[in-house]
Amino acid sequence: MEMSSDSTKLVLQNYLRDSMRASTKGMSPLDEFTACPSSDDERLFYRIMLTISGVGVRLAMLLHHPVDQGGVNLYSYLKSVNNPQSEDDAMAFYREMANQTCGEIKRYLHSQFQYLGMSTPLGLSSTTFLSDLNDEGCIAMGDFYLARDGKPVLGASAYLYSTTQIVLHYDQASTADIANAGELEFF
Amino acid sequence: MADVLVVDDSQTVRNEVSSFLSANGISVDIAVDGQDGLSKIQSNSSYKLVICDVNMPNMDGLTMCEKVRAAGKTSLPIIMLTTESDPSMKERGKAAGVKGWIIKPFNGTAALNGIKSLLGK
Repeated sequence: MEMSSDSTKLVLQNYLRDSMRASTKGMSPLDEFTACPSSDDERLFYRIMLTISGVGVRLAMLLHHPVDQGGVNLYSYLKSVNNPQSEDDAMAFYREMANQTCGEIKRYLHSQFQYLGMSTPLGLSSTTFLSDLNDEGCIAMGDFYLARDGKPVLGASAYLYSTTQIVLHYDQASTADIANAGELEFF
Repeated sequence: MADVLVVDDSQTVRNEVSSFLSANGISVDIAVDGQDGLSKIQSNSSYKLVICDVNMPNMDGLTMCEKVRAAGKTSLPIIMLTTESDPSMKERGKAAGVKGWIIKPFNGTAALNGIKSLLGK
């Protein structure tokens, strides 16, 4: 895989950081890392994938959460709930978190690319490794992880694909929270 | 006989929205995608409001809205609850007959007054 400049990787990391901050807003705090704080090869992760596609560009985003952290426990911690939650509820929560994280990234890309569409979340096998998802068309990738007590509990990776030379832009204004998010805007 | 139909492929969102509305005295029915939502709207005339996601499998929310309008239900308010914030997507929504737009995550407190006004409460 031929990777582009470090600047594109940094932009992807910033996108992931800002979008994960947005999708975990109001939840219990976690520590932030720009790389997995433990060896990826030694751990199994559940992964949820979404893709953003536009003219001449495609981005695949994966949300990871480690199998050994216990999805229900983490869900209960993040949502600050004491009563036991079901595994189904926890998995649905991660799918929606992936959906909202990718939706945020799509928002960051609106000003740079036209006609963007986004997929629905796709659950991948816990034995799918990141190296399985790279291909020749990938020009850059970025990671971002959230950890608790030094162990990764949530992660996200973004893979950028294009057949042409593209430059991603990042500025904090473009990833700032939407002022009226959650409010009903009447037409 | 529910007042509001919540259409979303996310179990988390369906639970969050329906729990919040129920706690505020609003009865809720749910559908898991646009096809399911369309079917329930066509077979149930009690709904006073539909809250619908955009990106869903089988049938997306905007297509569902277009089909509801095409079926003659022109006065039923449909609002979108979605991660989509692209102005061009909102324009598509307006053209499809959407009444309002909420960008996820759902904030019930922020949206409640608008929802109540659409329900005439």
